Amino acid sequence: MFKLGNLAIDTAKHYGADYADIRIIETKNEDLNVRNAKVSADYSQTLGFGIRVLYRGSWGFASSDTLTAEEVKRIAKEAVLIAKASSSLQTAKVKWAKEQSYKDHWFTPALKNPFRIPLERKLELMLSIDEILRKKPEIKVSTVEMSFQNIRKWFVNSEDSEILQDLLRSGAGYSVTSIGNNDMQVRSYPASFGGQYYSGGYEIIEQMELFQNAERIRDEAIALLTADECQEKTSDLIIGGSQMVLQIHESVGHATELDRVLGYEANYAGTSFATLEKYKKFKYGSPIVNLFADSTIPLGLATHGYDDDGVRAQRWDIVKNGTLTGYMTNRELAHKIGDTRSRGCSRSQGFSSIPIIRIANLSLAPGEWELDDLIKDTKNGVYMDTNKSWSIDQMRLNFQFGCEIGYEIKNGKKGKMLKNCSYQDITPEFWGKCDAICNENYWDLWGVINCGKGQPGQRAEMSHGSAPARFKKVKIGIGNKK
Amino acid sequence: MLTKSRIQQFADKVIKASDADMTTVSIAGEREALTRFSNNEITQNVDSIRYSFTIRCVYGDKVGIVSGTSLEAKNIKGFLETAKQIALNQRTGKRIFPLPEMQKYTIGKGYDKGTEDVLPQKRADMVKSAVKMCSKEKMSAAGIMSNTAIVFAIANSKGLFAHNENTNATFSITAQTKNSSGWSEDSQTSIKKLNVIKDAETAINKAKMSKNPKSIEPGKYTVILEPAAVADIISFLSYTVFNGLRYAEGRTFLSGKLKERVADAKVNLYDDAFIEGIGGIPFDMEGFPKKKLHLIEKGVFKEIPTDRRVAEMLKMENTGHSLGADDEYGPLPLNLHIENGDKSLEKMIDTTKKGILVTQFHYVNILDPMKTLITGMTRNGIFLIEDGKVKQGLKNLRFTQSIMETLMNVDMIGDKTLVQSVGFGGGFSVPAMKVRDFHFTSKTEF
Repeated sequence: MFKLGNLAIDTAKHYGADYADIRIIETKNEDLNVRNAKVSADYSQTLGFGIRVLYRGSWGFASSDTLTAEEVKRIAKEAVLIAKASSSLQTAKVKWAKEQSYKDHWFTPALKNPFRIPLERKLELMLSIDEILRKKPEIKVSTVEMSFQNIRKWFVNSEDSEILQDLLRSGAGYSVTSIGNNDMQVRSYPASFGGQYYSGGYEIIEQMELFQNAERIRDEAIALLTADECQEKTSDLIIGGSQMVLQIHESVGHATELDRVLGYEANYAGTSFATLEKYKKFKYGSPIVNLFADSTIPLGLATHGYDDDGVRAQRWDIVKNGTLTGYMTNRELAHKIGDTRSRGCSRSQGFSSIPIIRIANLSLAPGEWELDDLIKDTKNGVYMDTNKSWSIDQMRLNFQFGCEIGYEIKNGKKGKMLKNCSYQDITPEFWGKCDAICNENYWDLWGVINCGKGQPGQRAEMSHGSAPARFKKVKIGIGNKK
Repeated sequence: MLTKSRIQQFADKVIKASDADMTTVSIAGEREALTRFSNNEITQNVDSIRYSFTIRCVYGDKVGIVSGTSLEAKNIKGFLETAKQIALNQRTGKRIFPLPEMQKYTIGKGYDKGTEDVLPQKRADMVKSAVKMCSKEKMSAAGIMSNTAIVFAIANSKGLFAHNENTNATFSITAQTKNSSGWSEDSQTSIKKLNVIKDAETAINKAKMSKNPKSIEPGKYTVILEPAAVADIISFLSYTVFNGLRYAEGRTFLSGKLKERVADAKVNLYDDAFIEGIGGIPFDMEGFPKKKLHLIEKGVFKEIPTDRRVAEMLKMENTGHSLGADDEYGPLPLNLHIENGDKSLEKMIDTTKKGILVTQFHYVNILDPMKTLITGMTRNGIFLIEDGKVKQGLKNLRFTQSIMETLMNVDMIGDKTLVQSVGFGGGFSVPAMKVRDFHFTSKTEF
C-alpha cells in the first residue's frame, strides 16, 4: 500500500503540487439488529483512496474506489487540476504548520477481535435481551443493536511520513417503545441512539451489563406512560452522565472547532460565539468547569495515533478553571491562534472525504461530589438523563435538549419520575451556573457516532467523558404545562 | 458514472454466482463534485466517485446481507460466501416475502450529462461571480457550488431489474455583515437552470435588510414562512407522522385518524417522486413501482405509505414505499409536496398587521413525536412585519411548536414552490405559508 501511496505523491508533485498526501482506507463493519425478535445482520467492506494536494497555497482533492496504479496516477493528476481551479479565487495562501515525519504502525488496544466472535454468540445475547424487553404488553417495539468497525488506514505524505493505523471500535445497546395511556415513551440503555461505543474489542460488550439492566429499562419505559410531565419552570438541574455528553458536544465541542470560529462552516453547520478575541480571556463557565481534549485517552472513539494531517495525538485544555483556553485545530489553521503546531483534529469520514476539523475526545474533568450528597444538597430540583432530542443555534448559544427520563428532587430526596423532560439555556450562562460536579467514581466516557458536519456531509465519531453535574436555576419543561 | 449495461452486468454476475434461494442486488453510485467557499475565497474543492452495493441472500427463512464498494467481479464470491454464513449461522428464521418479478416503471427526466461533467474551473467561475458581488458590498460570502450525479439500481433472481439516474446542481450562499446574514439556495436538475447572480442578490439584500437586528420577546406570532423554512419543518412529517409502520403500530399522531380532518382545508399534501428536480426514484428498495399518494387532501388525512408487511397489517394495498425487504424502520414518503396556493409573498406581508417573516430554520429536532412537537432556531434573515410592511431585522428566536398544529393554523399558501433534493431519492417541494399562533419560546444573542 505504501508503494501506491508514494506513487500518488510522486505523481502529484510531477504535476506541480507543493504538498500532497494520500489516505488508502479499508473499512469493515458488522451491524447486527434485533427488532421484536427479528434479526438483521449486515456485513460491509469498503476500500478506496483520497488524494489531497496544495498547489500554490490552494487545495484540491479527488478520490476513487479503484485501487490500481493507473487510477492512483489519474486521481493525483485530477486533484492537482482541481487545486489549480481553487487557486483562481484565493485571498491568502494556506499556511501549513510544521510536523515531523513519522514511520509508524499504530493500533487500537483490544483483547477480543469482535469479527472473530461467532455470530451466534452475539445474537444469543441480543435475543435474550429482546425476550426480557418484550415480556410486558405495553412494550410495542424493542430494538437491540450491536456494531463493530475496523478501519485500516495507510497515510503517506510528501514530507516522508508513512503511517499505518488499525482502528477498532465496538458498541451495543437497546431501546424500548412503550404505548398506553394515550402516550408513547422511549427508554434506552446504556445510551440512546444505538447505545454505548468505545474503541476496543468485544471485551467492551461483555462489560456493559446489557442483560442485567434490561428489566429495569423496560419497566421504566412503562412507568413513564403514567408519570407526571416535567412542568415548565425554572429549577436547579442535575444532569446525568449520558446527557452531559450531548451538552459537552454541542455547546463546547462544536463551538471550539477553529474552522467554525473562522467562518468556514458559515453556510452550513454554522459559526461560533467563541471567537478569537475571547481566547484565553472569556469566562466560559464557573471556576469548577475544566474541559480537556484528549486524542490519546483509552477507549475514546477519536483516540488514534495520528490525525489525517499526519499529526501525532495530543491532550490539551479547552476550558481551564472556567476560562476558554483552547480550540480544536488542524495544520492549516493552527497559525490563526498563534500556534506553530496543530492539535491534530483533522479527520475525514472515509477515503472519499476531505479531512476537516472535527471535535476530539472532549471531557469535563470530574469534581469532588458523591451523587447522593449532591441530591441531599438540592432543595428543589430535577434530575434528567439520556438524550432524546437536541437543538442549538448556529453560533452555539441558545440550546434546548430533551431527555428520556427525569426525577423530581425535593428537600434533598429523589422523588417521583417525570416524563417529557427538557431544558433550555444560553451556553456561557449555563456553564456559569455549574456549581457541583460528581467525582471520578461517577465519570465515564460516552461515545458519539453520528456527528455531522461539512459539505459534502461527513460523519465523525468521538467520545465525551463526564460525571453528573448540577446547574442552578435553569429553564426546564419547555412547552409543557406550567 | 457507470452505464446502465455495466451496472446490469455486475448484478447479473452476482445473481448467477449465488446459490441462495433468493438473491437481490442493489447498487448505488454517486459522483459528487463540490467547490466550497468562505471568507470570499475557495476553501475546499473536491471530486469523488463512489459506488456501493448490497447483496441480500435468502436461504429458507434466513437472510444474510452484505455490502461493499468496489464493483470488481473478483470480489463477488467472497461477499456471497459471507452472506451465506451470516444467514446459516442464525438460530431463528423469519417470514420471507417472495421476490417481485419484473415491473413496469415510469422513469423521469432527471438526468443531464452536462451537469455531471461540469469542470472545476466552471464551478470556480460561478463562485467568483457571486463572491465579487458580496465583496463589493463589503460582505463576507460562504457557500457551495456542487454538481452531483446519482444512479440507483435493483436486480433480483426473479428477473427484476430497475434502474434510475438523476443529476443535481446546487448553489448556496450566505452573505454576512458584522451583525447580520442573508441566505439563498437553488437546486436544479441541470446546471443551466441555476441563477447564481439572483441567489447572490437575494442573500445580499437579506443581509442588508437584517442589519442591526433588534430583540423581540418570545411568544405566539403570526409567521410568514418562506419555502425553505416550510421544508425544514415538513421534512419531519416524513419519518414521524407518515411512517407506515409507526402508523400501523399506533405510534404516530395520525394513528386511528384516517379520513379525519388533521389540517386546514387549504392544505393538500402529496408524496410524489415524479416532481421535476425533487430527486425522486420511481421504485422502492424492493423494486416495486412507487405510487403517488394523497396524504392530506383538503385538510383530511387520506393515505399512508405501505410496503407489503405494513399493507398486510393495515389490510391495504402495497404503495411501493419499502425501504428494503428486511427493513424495520417503516415505509416512508420521501418526496413530500405541498400543493401551491394563490398568494404571493408580497400579498402575505401586505395582509399582516403584526408578524414575523422567516427565511429558514436551523437545527430542527423532534421533541415529542406523538404530538409532532419540534424545536429549532431561525437563521439568516428574520424580520418584523408591522402594518403590512417589513419593518426591521430581528435577532434569532427558538420555536417549540407542533407541526400538525402549524398545518391546522395555515392562513395562506404561497403561489410558488421551492424544489429541494436531498439526495438518494429524497426531496421536497413546498410553497411559502402564512401561519397564525406560531410559538417562539426563547431568544438568542444575535
